[in-house]
Amino acid sequence: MRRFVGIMLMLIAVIAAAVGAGLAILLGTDNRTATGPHPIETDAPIVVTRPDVLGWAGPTVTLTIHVAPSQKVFVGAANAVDLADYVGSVRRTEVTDYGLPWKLQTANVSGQDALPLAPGDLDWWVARASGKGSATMTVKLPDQAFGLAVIAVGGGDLKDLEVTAAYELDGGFGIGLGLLGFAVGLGLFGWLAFQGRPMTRELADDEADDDGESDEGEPDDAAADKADDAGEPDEADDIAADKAHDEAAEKPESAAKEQP
Amino acid sequence: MIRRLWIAVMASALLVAGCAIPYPKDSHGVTKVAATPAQADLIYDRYKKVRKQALNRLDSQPLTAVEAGPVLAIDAGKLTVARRLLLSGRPDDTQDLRILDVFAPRLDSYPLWFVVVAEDGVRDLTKVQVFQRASSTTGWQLAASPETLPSTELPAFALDGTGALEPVDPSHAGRMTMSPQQAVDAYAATLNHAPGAVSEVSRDSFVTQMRQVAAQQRRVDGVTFSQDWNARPVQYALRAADGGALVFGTLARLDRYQIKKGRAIDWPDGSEQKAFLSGRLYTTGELRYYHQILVYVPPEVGKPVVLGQYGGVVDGFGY
Repeated sequence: MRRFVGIMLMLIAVIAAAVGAGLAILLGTDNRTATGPHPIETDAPIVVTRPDVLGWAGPTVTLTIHVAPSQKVFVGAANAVDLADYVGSVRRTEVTDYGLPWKLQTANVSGQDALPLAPGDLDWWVARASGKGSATMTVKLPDQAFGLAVIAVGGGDLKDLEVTAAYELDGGFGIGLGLLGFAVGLGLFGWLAFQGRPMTRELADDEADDDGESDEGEPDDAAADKADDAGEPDEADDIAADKAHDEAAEKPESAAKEQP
Repeated sequence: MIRRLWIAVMASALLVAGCAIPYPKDSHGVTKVAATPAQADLIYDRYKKVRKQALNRLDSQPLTAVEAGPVLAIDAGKLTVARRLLLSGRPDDTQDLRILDVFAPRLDSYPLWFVVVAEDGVRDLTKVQVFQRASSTTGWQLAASPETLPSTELPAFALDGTGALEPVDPSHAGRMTMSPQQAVDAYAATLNHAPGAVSEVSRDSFVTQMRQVAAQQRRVDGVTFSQDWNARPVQYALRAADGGALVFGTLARLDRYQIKKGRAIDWPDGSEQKAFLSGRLYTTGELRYYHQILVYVPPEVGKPVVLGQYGGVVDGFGY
């Protein structure tokens, strides 16, 4: 039983170490990873994500949009109900699927060219930014259905659109290192469990004390343990064996010294 | 020893799990709670500011930014009456409105709307108001504003797990005796019929008051008076905690005056008729009113009852 537990713990430790190291390496000390710039082909004045595309909340995302240098561009994040009503009748490119780090599927939707009101005049954006030729917006993905929109402002379209996305996970680097440390400890613990013995003599003494307390204060379940271990030596036997092993290891050395 | 190590392992796992890991979004689909209490405060402050400006100038134009539909027509009518008659006391000028509660439904499309229960400290009334945003590119406007007496107890509103109001489809009765639209239609029918006729609604203070007004007009000598009531489509209805519904309905009322030959009517000073019917009436005259009513439709048994109303003349002509 202890061997099985030990193996399982070491397996978990290996996975945790891989995840932790991967997270720390991926995010780096600034807790963020970026992908892009990625071109998006469209001749529409608007690119939006469908509500079901961004299914996760929590991370902070920074989008940097590049378009033709003379084109004014707006990038915003909003509740999907607001966004759908706003762009519902306008010609647009919709992002219908998205996979990390950057895998897009899009669909073109026909409609009129002009928006009913300039995006900058609206009060329901969760986050927004605008600029000429480029714009950068940072938003923490909210816990509600929402979408992202890139809009060509003042006429024009989004030809030459390129998007760079940076994902930020607050404390992600620390979490990665923490996972790594946790994995090392867990692996050590698993190894000890696998070996069926404590690592140091002090631990052995502790364990012997624990066993002594158990024998005095609690019902003796040594017989059950032995049955569970299916023939494995119990901890007391291990200690005795260790001592015998240590003594056996010392004796040849002593004998060697005694030789002329 | 093993126990201690297990505790350390579990504590570490919990520590890692508690960190800012991405998680799936809520399960409410593509919806939006119309407004938070903080947003409602801002919207209401803007409304009061613009309304005060309109009252000070006796001009309904500013109101078009913050009011819509029948409530705008009623308030514009009140301002018209005040302006034409140059009343010294301006309507509602001294209103001291304070929000008591805000309730917002979770909606999947525009128009968005929410309910404000506000106390009018000066007039000692409670306003149960609906603010609506018709589209994502328009502003918030007051769409209904029935008033109740402080003694009137509103039924508790049904709220979902997130504290959002539960809207009711105006055309569906569900477990209620009638749908919200049927309840408002029934009020119009009751007011069109003679007082003794069978009615599907309660004989409440609203019905009594409206019948008294009509009876008073019929007593004017030399005038044939008629009155018609029509229900407008119900837009806002919400579930009460007991399974009933609170319905914001609007009734359109048309008062017709036919003057007998050789007779004329002089309306009392300060009356709506005098403002809209240009003084003396010789032949015919019409006045149109809107009455916004707050109707409670009980679950399963009982008749609908009006809990509050807000109304006034909105148009008229006469010669």
